[in-house]
Formats: sequence, C-alpha cells, structure tokens
Amino acid sequence: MRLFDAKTISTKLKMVILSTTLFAVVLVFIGFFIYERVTFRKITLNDIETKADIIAENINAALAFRDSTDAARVLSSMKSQRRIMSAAIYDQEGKLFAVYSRDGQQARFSERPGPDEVRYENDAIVLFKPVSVNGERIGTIHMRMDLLREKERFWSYIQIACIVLLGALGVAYFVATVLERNISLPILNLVAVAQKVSQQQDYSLRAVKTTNDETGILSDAFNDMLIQIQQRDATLQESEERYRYLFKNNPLPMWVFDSETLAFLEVNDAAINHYGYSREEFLHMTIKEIRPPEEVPRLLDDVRQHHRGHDAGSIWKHRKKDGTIIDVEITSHELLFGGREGKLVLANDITEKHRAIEALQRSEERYRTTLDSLQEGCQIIGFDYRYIYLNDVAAKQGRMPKEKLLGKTMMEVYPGIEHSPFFKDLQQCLDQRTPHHLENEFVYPDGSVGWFDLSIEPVPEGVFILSIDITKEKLQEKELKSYREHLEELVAERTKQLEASNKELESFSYSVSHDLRAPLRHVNGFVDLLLKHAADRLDEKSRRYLNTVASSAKEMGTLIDELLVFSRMARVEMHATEVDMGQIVNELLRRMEKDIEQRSIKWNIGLLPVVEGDLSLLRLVFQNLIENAVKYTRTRQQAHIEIGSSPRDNEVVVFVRDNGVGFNMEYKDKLFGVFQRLHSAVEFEGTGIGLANVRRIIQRHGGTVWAESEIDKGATFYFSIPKKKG
Amino acid sequence: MNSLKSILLAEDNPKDVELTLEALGEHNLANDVVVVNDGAEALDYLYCRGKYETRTPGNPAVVLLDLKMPKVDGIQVLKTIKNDESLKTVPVVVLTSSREERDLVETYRLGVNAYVVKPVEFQEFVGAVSQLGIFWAIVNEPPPGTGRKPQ
Repeated sequence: MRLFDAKTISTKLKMVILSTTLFAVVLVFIGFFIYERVTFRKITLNDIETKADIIAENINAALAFRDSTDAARVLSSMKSQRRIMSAAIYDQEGKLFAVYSRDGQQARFSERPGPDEVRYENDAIVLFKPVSVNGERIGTIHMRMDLLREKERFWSYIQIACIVLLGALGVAYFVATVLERNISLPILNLVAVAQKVSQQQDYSLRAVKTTNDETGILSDAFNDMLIQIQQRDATLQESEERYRYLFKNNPLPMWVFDSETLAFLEVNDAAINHYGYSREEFLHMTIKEIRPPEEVPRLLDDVRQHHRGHDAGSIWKHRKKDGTIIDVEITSHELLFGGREGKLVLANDITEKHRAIEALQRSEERYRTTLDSLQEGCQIIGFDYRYIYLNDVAAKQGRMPKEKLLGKTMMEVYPGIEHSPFFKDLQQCLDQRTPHHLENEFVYPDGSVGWFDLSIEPVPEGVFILSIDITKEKLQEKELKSYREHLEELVAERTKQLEASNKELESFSYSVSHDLRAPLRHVNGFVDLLLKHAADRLDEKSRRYLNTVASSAKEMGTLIDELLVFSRMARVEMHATEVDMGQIVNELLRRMEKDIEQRSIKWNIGLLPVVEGDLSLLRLVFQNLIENAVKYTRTRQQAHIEIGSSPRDNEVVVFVRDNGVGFNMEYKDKLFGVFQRLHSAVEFEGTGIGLANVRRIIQRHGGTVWAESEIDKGATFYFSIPKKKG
Repeated sequence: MNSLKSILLAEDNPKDVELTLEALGEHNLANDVVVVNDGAEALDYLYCRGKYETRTPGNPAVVLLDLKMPKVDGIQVLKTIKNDESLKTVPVVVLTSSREERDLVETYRLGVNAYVVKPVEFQEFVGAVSQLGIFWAIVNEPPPGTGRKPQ
C-alpha cells in the first residue's frame, strides 16, 4: 500500500476514515444506479411492447386490406409519443409497408425486418414484433424508441451522488480529525520519547501515560523496557569498565592486534612502559616490528597455523624500542575487537627467568663436567645408600665399572661396608646433615687395602663424597715414619762419618802442609848447598840443571801452599760480620800502590754496598779479581779497570771489568776450576787457583760467579752475593 | 856457666836439622845449638833428665821448636814449658813447615814467642833462621837464669 508509506499516523487514520466513507457512499450509489437502470429498462420495455401491441391491433385491418395510407395514419398517431423515434410496418412478404419518423425526416429502415426481438442499439431500443391475426402472421411491426430520458436521469443521479459524496466526505473528515487526535497523540508522545532516547542515549527518560488503552500499555511496556535497558546498560558499562581496567592496568604487557594486518589495535600501559613505545607509536605499528628480523618468518608461520583459537606458553624473542632483545612467554586468544578479527596477547617477560634457567642449566652442566673431569673421585649417595652419581675417578677408585655401581646400594656392592668407621660418618652425615672429613682405610673385596681422603658433604639428594686416593702418600708416610724413627741414628752415624772424614781431611792437609813441603825444602836447600859447595866444579849446564831443580821445587811449594789455602777455604769456619766491600777495595788498592806504580791504570770504582760475610774471605775474592785484572792488562798501554755493583732481586751483583787480553768464552767453564789456566805461565804467571778460591768463597756466601769476555777485548768478572738483611 | 849452649833445636828431621844448622852456621851460631830429635827428648833436656841428667843446668836462650815430631809433639812441649814456672820465661819460637791456622792459633794461645814458617826457598830459609838466631841468641836480652855463652 504505497499510499500509507511515509505518512504520519494521523494522516493514515484520516485516509482510512475518508476512504472508508468514500467507498461506502460510492457503493450505495452504484447499487442505486444499477437498480434504477434495470427498473427503467423494464418499464421502457413494457412501454414499447404495449405500444407495439396497440399499433398491431390498429394496423390489422390496414394490413389485411393492404391499405398503406391507413397504416401510415395509424403510425402517425405516434406523434404524441415523443420517445418513439421511428416505426415501420413490414407486410407478409417482409416488404416495407408503412413507415413513421418522429422528426419527419426519412429514417433509414432496413429492407427486410430483423428477427423478432427487442434489442438495445446505441442509445435506442429496437423492436421487431409479428402482427398476427388469428394466429396468422400478416406482417411485422418495427419500432425504435430513444433512451434519452434514461441518460438524463443518469446524469442527474450522478450530480446528486457527487453532492452527497462531497457532503459525506466533509463530515467524515471532521469526524476523523477529532477521533484521530485521541488515538495518535499518545503514540506521537511515545515516538518523541523514543526518538529522544535513541538520539541522546538517555535511558532515564520515561514516556507519560495518558490513556488506559493499548497505547497506555505500550507506554508502560516501553518504560519497563527502558528500565531494563538502563539496568543492563549500567551493568554492561560496569563490566566493560572492569574489563577495561583489567586490561589497562594489567601488570603484564597486553595488546590486541588485527589478525589480518597484524597491526596493533590496542595496548595497555604495561606494554607501553615495558617496550618503550608510546601508545601512538604502537597503534601505527604491526607486531612484526617488536621482533628481531630473524624471528619474523617464524611469526608469520605461526600466525598462519594458529590463526584460530587459544595459544598459551609459547616463547618468543621480542625487541624493545631501545633494541634490547627480551624473551617473552605469549598467551593469546582470538577475539572480535571493534568488529575486526583480532587476537588478545598477554606477554610475560621471562628474560630474567630464562637467563636464570639457562645460567642454572649451564652451571649445572659445568658442575657436572667439572665433576666428571675432576682428578678426585666424586660420588653422590642417596638416602637409601644407593649410588646416584659417580665420576670415572670414583669408579676407578672403587675398582668397579660405573654401571655396576649406579643404582645399587653400597652394601650390595661392598658387603660389610656398613661396619666400617667410614659408614658411621656417612650415616651421621645423612641423618644430621653435618659435613665430615676423614682418612679412610678401605679394604677391597680381594683383601687389598687403599687409603682415601674423604670429604662427606650433605646435599639435597643425600651426601656428596669427594675422595682422594692417598694410598701412595700413606705408604710413603709409613716409610717416612720408619725413616724418621731411624733418622737420629742415621744422622748421628752420618755426622760421625762426616766428622771422621773431616778429621781425616784435616789431618791429610795437615800432613801435606808439614810433610809435603819438607822434602821440597830439602831439595831446594841441598841444591843450594850443592851449588855453593861445588861451585868451581860445576859447569854452566850442571848449574842450570840444578837451578831448574830448585825452581821446580819452589814452584811445587807454591802449588802446595795454594792448594792448602784452597782446601782451607772449604773447611775454614766463616765469621760473618758486616763487610764494607768499598772499604776492602780501597785498602787493597792502597796496598798495591807500590806494585803498580810503573803501570798506567785508570781506575773507575763505583759504589759498593755493605754485605754480610767473612771479611778475610771476601778480601781474598777482591784481591784475586783485582790482581787478575791488573795482571791481564799488563800488555795494555793504558789499562782500564772498573769495579762496580748493581742490585738484582735479593742480591747484589759485583763486577770487575778490565780492558785486558780477555779469554775465549769457549773455556769459560774451565775458568773457575782448580789449577785451570787459559794462559801459559810464560805469558802470565799464576797457578790457576785464584778463581777457584773466588768461586768457593762466593759459593760459601750463597752467591754465584761468572765471567764474560772476548779475546783481546777485556773481561768482566761477576759475582753475586745476598743483600744485607734488614 | 858461660860455655853453655844457648839454642835448643827440637827437630826430628835430620835434613831439616842439617839445613837449620847450616843456616845458623852462616852466622856462626851453629856451635851454640843443642839438637833434640823429638819432644820427649826436648823435655828431657829442659828438665835435665834422661840422657841430659848430667848436663849443666840452665835454660837455653831460645827454643826452636818443630811442631810435628814423634812421641811428644811441639804443641805438647810448648804447653809444658809455658805451664812450668821455671821454664815459662824461656822464649819459644815455633819453626815449622806448616802454615796451618789452627797451629798458629793454638801456639799463640799457649804463649809462643814467635811463629816462623820455614820457606821452601833455601836462601829465604837461611835468612829467616839466621835472623832468628841473631835476634834470640844475641840481640834479645834473655830472662835471668839463662845459660849464656860469653862473647
């Protein structure tokens, strides 16, 4: 009903009333008109047939006599009948016999009569009726009567109907307007409230109830609905508030992202704080951007596979704004967010936890590896005395393969172990959780014995035993103990031996001193006497021989003397005092002044420290070294002799350097040997004992001697001596 | 008695005796030398006992004492002399081959008057011995009671 579209309810009501009225009036008129027309036509039909009958009565004779004038006179009597338009009489043969026309003009008549009937033709009724006499048809009467009267009546009817209709509609409109107001006003009120509610979203508005009819019920229902909506809205708002609060203030970072575009749709404060991006930055990013690039393919894979449903506990690497990579545990769930398919994500930063776990694993691995590779035996024994862990060393110490020990109790593997003192300590450690340390003698099943240093420490699984095989040490200790017991005897014996040998040595050197020199003296003396006594009898050659004998004897005397000195160096008691080495050198130089006055020697004496030592022995050292330097620079026009010292660790290194003939370093080992000479006696006199003495003295002082030289380029002799203490 | 010999040479080695006497002879001191061959004999002489029972009493001007001698050694002789009131004034010169320190220390401790090491070189030996003889037998004024040969 297009008519009712987009019209107000009052219009609709009016339309209904007006159209109902219109319809009723029109219906009444149509009924009346139809009745009128049917009635009129019946009357007209009766009228025309009655007229025809009358004519027929009157025309009988004319026909019978074939008097057409009479017939025409009969027909012309129709003049008073204004409605008869025309009339005609056909004879027996159907030939037109007489005609009449109302307006005098020649009406058109058909040549032959139509069938007997009364029929409507255009605005007229046409009649063909037989004229019978005594039942014999003698002709046909034809009449045409107009219906103009009928038309006139119809039009006047229409006019009346229209006037009535207009009046009815006017009354109806007035009534409708009055009635409609009663019905539509409360509805309009309701509509206005509803519009206001929907526009302002204000569910506290109420419709005013004005009637008790259906509209009143509607108002009540509407108000009830509003109350319910208001309550539901409040509940919903509260619940939304609560969930928003939960999301916004959740201590864990949370966000929602679009499943299609992966863009962030919402983030909470914790995410902002944790990742360092502002809310605006987040909302312009996708979740790909908080990941290191290498994680992105995995992410895309995951998004494809886990498109639906719930995902909990997967671990990801995320990247903060500052570039820090963190490990997060992700819990996510599908949801609809603002009409888009999205995912709610809860990210738990487990970097620290992860690191701690990793560190723990590494540390555990490290400890295990450490234990495995330890040189000490390590084992962990459970509270049920079962072997939980052993390293290779422990298995080796126990002389059992690991596989035979692990999972077995100690008593199964080593029957009788429960009676050993070690086991008691182990039990104590298990029960009281106190550490123990002991040396344990372990008897193997085959009866052999091993010694172990055991540290027993309580650990959560039971006890940890660190075992060090000290069997070798124990045996050595035993041996050492027996040695120690005999040591005093041994020392006494050795001392005695040493004393004896020392004495022997002493008496040897004593005899040498006395007895070896005497014959030389005698040789020398008697040669001398012989030379004197037989002077005139000896030729030059004999005298030279005797002189050679004498000088050889004298030389041997010197050698013996020096040998004795040398041997005394080893035996003589050291008298340690503070010795100023600088002073020794000065004294020596003063003493030598006379001997070297012929020489041109440039001395360069550096600072020499005070040390602790034997004055006379150290003097001998310097004497030897300086005399050597003087001796071996004899061939130099200008001799340079430098004496100095430098500290080295806990010692002082003293050197004597000359620019003399030097020596071949090939022979440096021989330099300090007894009677070792690098020069012939003809070149440079000497016995080769001086440096041997130097070495012996320095060694007795706890130092070392060495020398550096090159032939013809001088030599440097060094000795080290401990620094003075304190 | 002026004719008494005033040097006592205690020396077991005849060669040394000969050389010593030779050295002393260079300065005409040889005749004043009494030679004994060991410590015991030296003490016999000093105490006028044994084969010296009959000798003319009186102490020698000096005793030249070798240390290494059979029977009683030089140290023992020195000790006896220096512990004897009647002998301790007698000058004792140790004349020995040895340069051993312990001998030096011991003899000086016992109160030796001089310690001479016999040089290997004969001329030096002669020099040393003759100087000794001259010093002790002539230059040095002996303590009272010492037998002395008139000049």
